[in-house]
Amino acid sequence: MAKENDILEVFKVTKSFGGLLVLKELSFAIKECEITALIGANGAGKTTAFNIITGFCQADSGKVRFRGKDICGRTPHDLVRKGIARSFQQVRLLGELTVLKNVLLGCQDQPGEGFSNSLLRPKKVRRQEDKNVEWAIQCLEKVGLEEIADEIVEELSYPDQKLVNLAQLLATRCEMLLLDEPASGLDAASIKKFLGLVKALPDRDKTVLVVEHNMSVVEELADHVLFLHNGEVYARGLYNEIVNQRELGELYFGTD
Amino acid sequence: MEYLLSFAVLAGIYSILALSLNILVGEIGIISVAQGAIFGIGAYTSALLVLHLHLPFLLALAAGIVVTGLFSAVVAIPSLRVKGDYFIVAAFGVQFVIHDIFLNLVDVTRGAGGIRHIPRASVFGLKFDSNFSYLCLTLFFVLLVISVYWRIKVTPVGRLLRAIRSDEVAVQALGKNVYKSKVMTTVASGSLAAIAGSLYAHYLTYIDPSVFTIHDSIFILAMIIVGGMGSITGSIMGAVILLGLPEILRFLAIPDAIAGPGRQIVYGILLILFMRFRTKGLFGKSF
Amino acid sequence: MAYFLQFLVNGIIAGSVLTLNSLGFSLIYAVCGHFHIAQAGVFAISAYTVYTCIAYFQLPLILSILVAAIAAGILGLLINKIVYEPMTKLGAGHLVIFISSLGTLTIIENALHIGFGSDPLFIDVGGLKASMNFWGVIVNGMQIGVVCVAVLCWLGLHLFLYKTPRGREMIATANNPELAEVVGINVLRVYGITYIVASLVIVPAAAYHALDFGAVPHGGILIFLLSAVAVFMGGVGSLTGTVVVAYALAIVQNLTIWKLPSEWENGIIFFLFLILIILRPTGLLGRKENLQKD
Repeated sequence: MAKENDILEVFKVTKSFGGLLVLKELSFAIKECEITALIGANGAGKTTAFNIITGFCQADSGKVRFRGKDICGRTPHDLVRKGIARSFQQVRLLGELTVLKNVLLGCQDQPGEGFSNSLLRPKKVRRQEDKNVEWAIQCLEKVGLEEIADEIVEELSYPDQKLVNLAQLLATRCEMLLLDEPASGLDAASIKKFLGLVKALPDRDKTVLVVEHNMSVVEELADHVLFLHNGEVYARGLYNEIVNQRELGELYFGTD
Repeated sequence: MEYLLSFAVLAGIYSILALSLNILVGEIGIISVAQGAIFGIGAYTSALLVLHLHLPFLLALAAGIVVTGLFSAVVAIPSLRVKGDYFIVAAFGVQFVIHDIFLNLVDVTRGAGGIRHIPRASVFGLKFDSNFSYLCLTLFFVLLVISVYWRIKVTPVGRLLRAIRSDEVAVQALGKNVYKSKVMTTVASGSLAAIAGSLYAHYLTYIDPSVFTIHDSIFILAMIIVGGMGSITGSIMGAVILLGLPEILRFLAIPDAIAGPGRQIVYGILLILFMRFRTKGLFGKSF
Repeated sequence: MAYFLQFLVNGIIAGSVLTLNSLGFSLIYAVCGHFHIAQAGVFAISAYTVYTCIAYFQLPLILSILVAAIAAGILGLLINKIVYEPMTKLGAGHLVIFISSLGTLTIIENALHIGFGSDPLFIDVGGLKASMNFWGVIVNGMQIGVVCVAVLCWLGLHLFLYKTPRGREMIATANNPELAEVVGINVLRVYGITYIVASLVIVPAAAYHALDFGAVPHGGILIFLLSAVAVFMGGVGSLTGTVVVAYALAIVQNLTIWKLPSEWENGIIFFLFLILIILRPTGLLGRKENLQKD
């Protein structure tokens, strides 16, 4: 039952890995311009759900719809073009390249990424590249890293690397961002800075789906919470509704 | 002096080969052991077109580029779909099968005896008969290939290739069609190798399957490992060094039966040593 | 019909040789993640060891094969310890390991070339090569031997992997190396055992190859590549798939040269390989890969 402002609909998605059932007719919908958090114990299927939504994994059955259109079976790069981008739990950046080049890679309109254009149409490539550099720097300004645009990414601190990744995601201009444990590995101060940036995203017409284990982050960020257990949505609602259910706490922390 | 000029021509030709392989190995990070066979396809195509259809040199060269480009695409399209190791096996397969074709399709390739009396290259009636003139022709193409490589490096496509080598999953997650880039790079690499093939055939005026074997593929790989993966200077220096060393050793009067395999052993040792102690080669920047 | 049977049987014999190689490649690739092309060098050294034992020391065949097995096991272990291990400790990736493996192979093959020359060296085993005729199909003792050994090795390997603790550690490491380490498995030791087992299993194939075609320096590479094709086509991580495909490939190859000129026997295999990876990229019985690993 997709509603008017549901931007993403996951419908009865099932997935097994070698006999192990990870997702069991998982169904939920995400409202546009909201921040939704996906929480649950390890192995509940959160990252698998992410992988399926972003095309890194194919569901065994079920449907995923983005803006009403079926996106099952599409490749990750295709989905970015459609407007869905993701981050990884362990931040994945291009270590040898500079911060600016990393963010530039997020830009989608790049005629210069084709051989024929780069060899035969230098002016066109230069013009678009200049525009992309301008946009990339704007994205860096949004996360406060414009000063270190020329530094090599692998020499940065982990919190800064996460910010570069966020700038990349902004550069893609994707309207829906899936963040996989954005707070992991960060100290309290960095988390605060990061959260501030993520919270501002809906104001920029972006929808965010977050997987997170850090409950104070979830409390701060989420407009809506989905509690996953054994591959299905066990409970949904506002943070306060979820957190007050003792039963969920037991499921979350496990009884073995 | 003629000897030096002749060496310089060959160094130029093998520099082009090294540059062509470096685009694949050093930029996008795909290992190929088929470059020897691809070199051969370019050489045989050019030689046969000039000999039998009397095509002018430049046209034959262009045809060689098209043929190797298409061939590379046909092999790359299925084998790059999955993990890189499939491509390694496919490349080995290509190397062996193509060499078998050179050896066995006797009606076309004249088999082990090879093709003789290939006309020297000539452009608009100007024949490149002397070593010096051929060196000029070769240098022209070396500069052409260098400028193509350099152009790739400084444009977004170079950044994309390097990124794919670094972490292709991250690149996919940023919306890039990694598979397409891999196929296009393989085609580009093959096409550039065809230039070397054509120059080679019309310089020596004789080609046979024995210079397009797996050992030659390993030789080309060793050139860029020693010179430096992803480096223009490295490609050229690697070619010069690996071509030059045996020439210098020639003065040590090592018997032929040992010199051949002995050289191969040196290449093998170089591959291991550089992978162990200096993966970026002599002139590369980082790997 | 007699011809068909003969080529079929020839295919089964060749399939046995290929299976042994494929089992070796599959083990190392699945457990250690190395594209150990130097395996072709271990193959060649085994062949020459058998030759030397018989030709110079007049040892009986079985003993020669045993000596070769010891040599192969040691060599496989050494290559891992001296060449690959130091590099993996420095964080070397897949590419770096493959290139050093290629370098190792080049050294081994060419050292053999210098030591023994490039002409095939034939071994005289008298009675074993005597032809026997079964319903119009001609085989000899050696060939029956290699088929039996291949089947025994496959069964033995199966038992070893699933019934012994070391074997189960190998399976665990193949499935998830990081988890294996966390659970307390000594991954370095597992690698060592894998290299020994994989090197041992190819020795009978090398011996047969030497007896049939003579020992040559570059004798191992083609078989190695065909075995890599068999492993990828059968699905990495599935021993059964590998064995089935190895026999299928060898039978197809032999039936093909019945009708086509023999020069194309390898071309057919690689062509089939390309077709299969278009249709079924993960192989016939392999697991589906999700996120591509490095």
